[in-house]
Amino acid sequence: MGKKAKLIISKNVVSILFAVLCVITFFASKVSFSYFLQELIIRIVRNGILVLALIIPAIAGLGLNFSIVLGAMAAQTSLILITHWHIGGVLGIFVACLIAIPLSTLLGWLMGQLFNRTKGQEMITGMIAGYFANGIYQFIFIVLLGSVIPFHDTNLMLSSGVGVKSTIVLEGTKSLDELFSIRCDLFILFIGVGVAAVLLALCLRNLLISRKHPEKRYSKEQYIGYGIIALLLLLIGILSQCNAAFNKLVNGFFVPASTVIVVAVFSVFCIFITKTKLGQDFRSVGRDMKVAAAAGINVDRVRITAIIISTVLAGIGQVISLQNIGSFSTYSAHDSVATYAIAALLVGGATVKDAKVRNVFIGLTLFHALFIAAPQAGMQLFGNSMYGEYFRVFISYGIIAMSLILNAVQTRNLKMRQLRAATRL
Amino acid sequence: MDNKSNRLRGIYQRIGLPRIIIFLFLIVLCIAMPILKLQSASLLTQAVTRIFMNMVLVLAMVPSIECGIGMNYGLPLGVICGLLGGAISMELGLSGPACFFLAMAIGVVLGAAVGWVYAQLLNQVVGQENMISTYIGFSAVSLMCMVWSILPVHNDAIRWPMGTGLRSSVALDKFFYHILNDFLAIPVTDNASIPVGLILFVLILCGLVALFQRSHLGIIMKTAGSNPRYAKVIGINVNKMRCVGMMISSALAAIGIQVYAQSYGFMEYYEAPLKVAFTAAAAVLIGGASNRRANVANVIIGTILFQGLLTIALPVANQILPESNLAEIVRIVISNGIILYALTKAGDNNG
Repeated sequence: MGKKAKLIISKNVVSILFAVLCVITFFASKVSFSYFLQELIIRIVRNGILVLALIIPAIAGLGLNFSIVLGAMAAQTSLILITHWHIGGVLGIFVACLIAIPLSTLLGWLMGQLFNRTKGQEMITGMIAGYFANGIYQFIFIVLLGSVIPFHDTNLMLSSGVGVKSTIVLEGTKSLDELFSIRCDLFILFIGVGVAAVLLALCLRNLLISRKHPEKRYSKEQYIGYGIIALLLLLIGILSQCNAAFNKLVNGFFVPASTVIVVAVFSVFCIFITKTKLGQDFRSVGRDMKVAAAAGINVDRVRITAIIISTVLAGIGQVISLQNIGSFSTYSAHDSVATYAIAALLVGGATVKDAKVRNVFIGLTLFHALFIAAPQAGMQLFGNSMYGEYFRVFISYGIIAMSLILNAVQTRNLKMRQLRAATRL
Repeated sequence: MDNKSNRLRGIYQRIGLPRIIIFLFLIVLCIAMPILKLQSASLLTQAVTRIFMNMVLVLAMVPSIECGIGMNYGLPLGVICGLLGGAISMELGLSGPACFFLAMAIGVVLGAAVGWVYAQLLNQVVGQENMISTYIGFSAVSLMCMVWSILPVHNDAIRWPMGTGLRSSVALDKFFYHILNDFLAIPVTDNASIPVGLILFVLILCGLVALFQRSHLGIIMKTAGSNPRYAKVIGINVNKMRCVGMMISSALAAIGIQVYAQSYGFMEYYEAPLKVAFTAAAAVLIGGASNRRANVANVIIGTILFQGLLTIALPVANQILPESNLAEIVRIVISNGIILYALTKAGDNNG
């Protein structure tokens, strides 16, 4: 048991450290709990799909997909278009997604071609391609639009008639969020019931499957994890219904349930796709491209598919994220999308080679919990609110650097072990 | 006939498509200059100044490529050492050459030390240096943002006017502004002159690196970089050579930022060094280097083409499209485009 506990801790050391840091920062910042909770839930929902977009490329051996920035640019392009056409409300968001999907498919296909030419260096290629695409994006929207591409819109364009303004205000602000929202205390209760239901379903599945395929059973730790989460949420939910003082802590705002449902649908999609034949192909390509090719898998095509799915998810994710904020800066809203999404995923316990849906949500919770409180904590501790921002950036970069180093060292050790085993034979 | 076309193709492949495009672009800009009635003389001296003030940072890429690490995307580490050297030297209240050379000395020592530690880490992650060095550079810059903001400095010229910590950009007028540029400068127009001192200093550094490459140690390092397995067999300590390369590279970066700052007029702290490595990498790649091979000629040609293009493109772009930062867009597209091109070429060689 002690050995097992040690293994669990060493596997999740980043997440645990982060959780400790979150607690310390929260108390140092002196922000109120209900504000904190509200911000946390909104940010998890806002960034959910953007981080989900990273799962499939990681499984397919493409590492952390820095090129989701391209999906974000496709999303911004479509948002500019719906603002130009004055399509507001949920319909506007829907149309924006419809435009973003083919655009990001095309961009994803291009990225896939590029990645297939730079095997082994996908991450740096993705990052530089993001910067490169940023240049092209700026060129289109500052220089070409209005001069070469005919486009007239006094609200959107600069006074000279060439180039889009640096800030775009959306007409359909929060329209998806407000489609269907629900009080926070009830939301927690429902989620608790939902997790408990999933737990029950898993138990039933295990009972049914255990005789025939014992290897397909889930491990005990997973049940304990789900159980603890379900219990906690149910406890908070029930307490908030019974106790007025407690209710005050978690009540006072509405959760955008419609957006939560959209994020949940995409999470299920990500889980589902890993169980299909295509998901199996992703895994085999991710494990070893040569072996996969020998087994008759079209490696290049599988990799392109992975990148296309990722870019499309990123496009939809950015549309949903920006409709929540309500406005965006045309030329820099996409800049830090990849960095923060990747950092969040890694905080959740994912590695360069493997990511799961639960890593996404654990990571988002911890990452954003820290950064809601960090500026306030920086103000309290150092009298400088910029300090929290620097800290956020440092943690994001640092966590990515650390994960990359760990991955490289592990890969090297594995290779050495294989080499040693081979020479022994 | 066939022979001739083959030779032409050979030349074409050696020069490469991106360099031809950039060269043609530069020529077009030079032709556009008189047509748009821009002051060619002052513009060209500006170009010369900018080429040489950036060259040392580009030169820092050579030892890291030679020793087998590839592009030193962790260039911000060395730059930070240079900035710290400058801060210490200015905090001590020095000015003029003493300030400049003390800053440089501190920068070089710190740079070499940091380069050594950094190389130890990179020796553990052979094959993944590109991405890891990029993110180590980024982390270092953001860590130093926190350090700069709480650094206990007392000199009013470098502290925030209100509060504590270092300014985001320190004006060098009182310290070592144009200390190299004005040395032996030849005036061309009223406000432009050819910075002979700067050119001499940079060319001497280039010469030293070229000499090093031909020295005993340089040749050993090159062998370790280009063929590590063979080098190991003949008894070369490959990891040690990578260390040496990285130390030289970081020290050069520290010098590079000071040469840059004395010409630019400001020491820029905080986020300023974040993307310095990409510009330098782009320049050396434009000069004909690859991720495995680079020499001083690549540095000189590359910086002339790249920075020359940027300096001349800026006013031309402003004439054609005022109020747009077309020149900045051109910089982003060219520098990242050339790095991408080099990455796809590296894939070809491996496959």
